[in-house]
Amino acid sequence: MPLPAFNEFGDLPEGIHRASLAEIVSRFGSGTAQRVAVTERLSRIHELAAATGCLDRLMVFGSYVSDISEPNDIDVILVMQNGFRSEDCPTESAVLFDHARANDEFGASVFWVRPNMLLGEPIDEFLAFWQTKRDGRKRGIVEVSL
Amino acid sequence: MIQNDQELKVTRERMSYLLDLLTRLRVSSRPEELALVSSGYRAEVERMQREVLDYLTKPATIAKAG
Repeated sequence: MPLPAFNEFGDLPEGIHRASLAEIVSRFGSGTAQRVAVTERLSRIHELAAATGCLDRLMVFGSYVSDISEPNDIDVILVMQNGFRSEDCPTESAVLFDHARANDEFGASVFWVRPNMLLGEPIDEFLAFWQTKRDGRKRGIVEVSL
Repeated sequence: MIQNDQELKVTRERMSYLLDLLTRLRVSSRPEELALVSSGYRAEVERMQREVLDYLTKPATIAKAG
């Protein structure tokens, strides 16, 4: 199913919208030099997260998946498998799991979690939190098909 | 930037959720990974806290006009 059109607020409709990285790049990765640059960062983040061998889900939210022509950064959630150990991941990938380093090196706001860390909260409820905007409206987020 | 009381309410609710999440991460994370896994959520709470304080220390008439 193709990614839906933006709503009247310039956001995706509420919900989790699944797409391949190629579809995401096609939809969001052009138009301005800033979008191209941020898209390259997303591709690199995807590569490094997958290289851990423990990536379960990768979500993208915020201004990148909106109609804003020049998103400042990229907002990402990494849902890792329950067996993931950050100290065992490839050296290059380790930057993703340190929020400040990821921001410095990729201009990305990366949040990560293992489902067993949520102590009973369903992972979809955790993901729903990131769909709420400052004014209380809900916006859609994108899940990169792995 | 928070612009009205509705946004203040939503931001405080979101902060509450993240603080609850940090409470759970403190228990469910291995000690050696807690600093890493909590770093993003901590940064988000700190950002929201700044926004809340910026709003609450602005006169209500100016806040409403803003």
